Amino acid sequence: MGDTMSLAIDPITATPLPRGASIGYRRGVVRRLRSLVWLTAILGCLQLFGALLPRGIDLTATRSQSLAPQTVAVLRRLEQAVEITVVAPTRPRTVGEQAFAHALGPFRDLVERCRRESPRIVWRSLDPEIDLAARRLAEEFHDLSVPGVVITTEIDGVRRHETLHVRDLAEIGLTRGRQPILEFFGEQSLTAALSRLIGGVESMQVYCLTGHGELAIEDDAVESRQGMGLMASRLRANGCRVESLDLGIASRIPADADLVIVAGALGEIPSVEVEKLRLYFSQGGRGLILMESAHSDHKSDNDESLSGLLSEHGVTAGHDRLVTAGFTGEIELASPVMPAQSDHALVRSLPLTPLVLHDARSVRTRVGVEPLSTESIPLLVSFAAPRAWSETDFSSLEATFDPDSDLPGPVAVACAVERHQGDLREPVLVVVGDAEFVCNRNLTAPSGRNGANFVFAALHWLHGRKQSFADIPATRREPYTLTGTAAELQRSVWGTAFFVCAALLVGVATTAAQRRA
Amino acid sequence: MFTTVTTIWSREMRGFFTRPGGWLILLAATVPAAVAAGWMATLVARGGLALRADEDPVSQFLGPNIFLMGTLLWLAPLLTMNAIADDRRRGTWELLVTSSASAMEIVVGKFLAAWTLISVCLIPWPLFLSALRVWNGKSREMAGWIPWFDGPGISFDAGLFWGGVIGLLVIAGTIAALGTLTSAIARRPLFAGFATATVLALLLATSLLPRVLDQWRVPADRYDWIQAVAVWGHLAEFSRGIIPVSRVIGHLSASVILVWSAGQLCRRADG
Repeated sequence: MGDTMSLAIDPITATPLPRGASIGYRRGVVRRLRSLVWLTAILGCLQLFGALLPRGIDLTATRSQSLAPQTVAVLRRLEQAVEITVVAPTRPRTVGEQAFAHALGPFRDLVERCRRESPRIVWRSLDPEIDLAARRLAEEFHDLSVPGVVITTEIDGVRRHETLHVRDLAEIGLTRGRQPILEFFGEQSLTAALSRLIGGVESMQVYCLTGHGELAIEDDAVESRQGMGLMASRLRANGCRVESLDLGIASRIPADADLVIVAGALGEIPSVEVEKLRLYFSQGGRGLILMESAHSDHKSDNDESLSGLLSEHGVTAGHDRLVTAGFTGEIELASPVMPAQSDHALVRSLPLTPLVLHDARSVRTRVGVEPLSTESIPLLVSFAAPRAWSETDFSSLEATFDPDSDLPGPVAVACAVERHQGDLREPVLVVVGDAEFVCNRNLTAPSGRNGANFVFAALHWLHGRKQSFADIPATRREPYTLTGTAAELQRSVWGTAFFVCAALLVGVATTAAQRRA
Repeated sequence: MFTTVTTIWSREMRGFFTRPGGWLILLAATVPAAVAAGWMATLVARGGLALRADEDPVSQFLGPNIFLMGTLLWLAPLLTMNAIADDRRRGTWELLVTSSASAMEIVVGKFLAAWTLISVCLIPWPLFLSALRVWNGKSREMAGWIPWFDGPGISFDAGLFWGGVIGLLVIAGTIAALGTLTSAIARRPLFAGFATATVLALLLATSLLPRVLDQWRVPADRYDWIQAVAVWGHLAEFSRGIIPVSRVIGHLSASVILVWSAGQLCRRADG
């Protein structure tokens, strides 16, 4: 027992030291221990030093490698994994896909910076041509159009999502010197989307006006032209509560209404009901008005009733129909329309894919002398003349452009109306000169997705869900400005190389001479 | 300790600069830098729009481009293989360890010398970039007869320059520590050089792996761990004009551990 007690233990290997271990051996052990302590201390100091410093020190003049404080704040609030999925073809073919591919570069950098800040961000990229998961996503989220970005998370067992498209991310233009320039504002959009996701999605209460021949939300028949049950289902799937509203019965628009949709009223809307709508809009209510076409068959009875209301908001719906000449010269009433050239938030959020409207009427900004508290912004426009124009002659199907009465293209067929209160702008209305594009029959057509996307974009804007963190500055990417040509720059490089190499050769010669000496 | 380390460092530096071979190595390291600078000048003059930060020609120049990686792949083994293994081969190691200096001090001195030499050999890279910034290649006459630089060339963000330089220094440190360790393990310099080159090549392959996985559309979070050892990927981060503090701490910690391991190995091997 006494022998065991006298045995020294090697503190590193934990084995007993040999009896009568030499002083040198013990010193060696102490030295090794001291070395380990030193190593641990240095590593500890390094870690401590690292913990005291910020994650990254941005040396760029524009702080282009740093996230905005607003983004950092939102990322720190993330408690659940957020998946950012890009759905885009690997090889872009169309102009829209090319534009998206351009915007995707800086967006990818942005997401990487976000991932460094928050490990809860997950990045995924899917090709709709080869990945089944991409198709599933497109089916699950109706407001996702390809190419696009879908941001998903699950909070309390509920899957939430936001979608971003090329107009939410960047704009590509040309400088005066015809150089490409990319203005990237994806950080604003991504931060706003994340903020909305984690801030909780407010359920939107949507009332669809009924009683005047409007598209019925109860009608689910796939081939129906009088029903918009499928659109209502999609809205419900995206967190909206959709109900019919008969203003002939209701004393006023319910207080819980976030939005009122007037989808293709065929008959006259009585002035009493229009008054209820006017009151609702004047009290901050919001609406999506899809005008029925001004075709002679329908007599356009709703014209007079709604036109006054729209006129008060600076919008005029024309008594005309948009016609487009096909490539072979025949006149078509189904006209493709595209987002107008504008910096407006709603215009930017519209997908670039053309939306096909049938027999649409023009929706223009009203020109008048009295000042208005609202401003109307064109959203969708037709092709330019002579390919498209708005025809006022309903008597014949053979439409020809009459410069005296017809409006030459590009014809605006949709407008957004904003109310100005000082610097504050708030959405009031979205008016479209066609309602048929949301009917069940058109929604189930191959291009029906574009119509649904437009409605979703309009609803998001009207409900304020597409608010952006506009104080996050956009970043600009442009080619370097050069004062010399490529050959002159090469001269700069090789001139420097000549002097460096000459100096080094002198070094070689000098040392060689010294060695020889 | 610092005096001993400084003495060892000075001895190594003197050994490099008093040999024609050292200057030839510097010369050989300058050529790829000049070629890469010429290539970058052409890219910049082409005027394309760099959509990603990594696609910026200036970032690429001080980032993981083929010329820089290729240079480091041969330069680092060449400069570090002799650190300890050559002393052992020539029998001067015994002289060193029997002096008053401890094995750890010697190893630290040799590591610092290797780090300095690698950094010195990389000086042409920032030098050419600076030249392109201050001179556009045209000349004008000053005072009517003295040829002088016409004006600045490429007006790039100075942050890219400093980020790239700091990144090169940090990564040169890790590579120097790695070379010192292999030199401590190996008995022959050639083997040490070969081992260092092999490890660097493996690190290069590891750095390329995330790109391959990205092409295969593997979600990024599944290969985040690879990024931790993807040295060239770290250099790309620096060359964007940012100092990722966690990477700097990681590289410094790795260098400390490698040098400590080399010191322990030397102490154990040489009693």
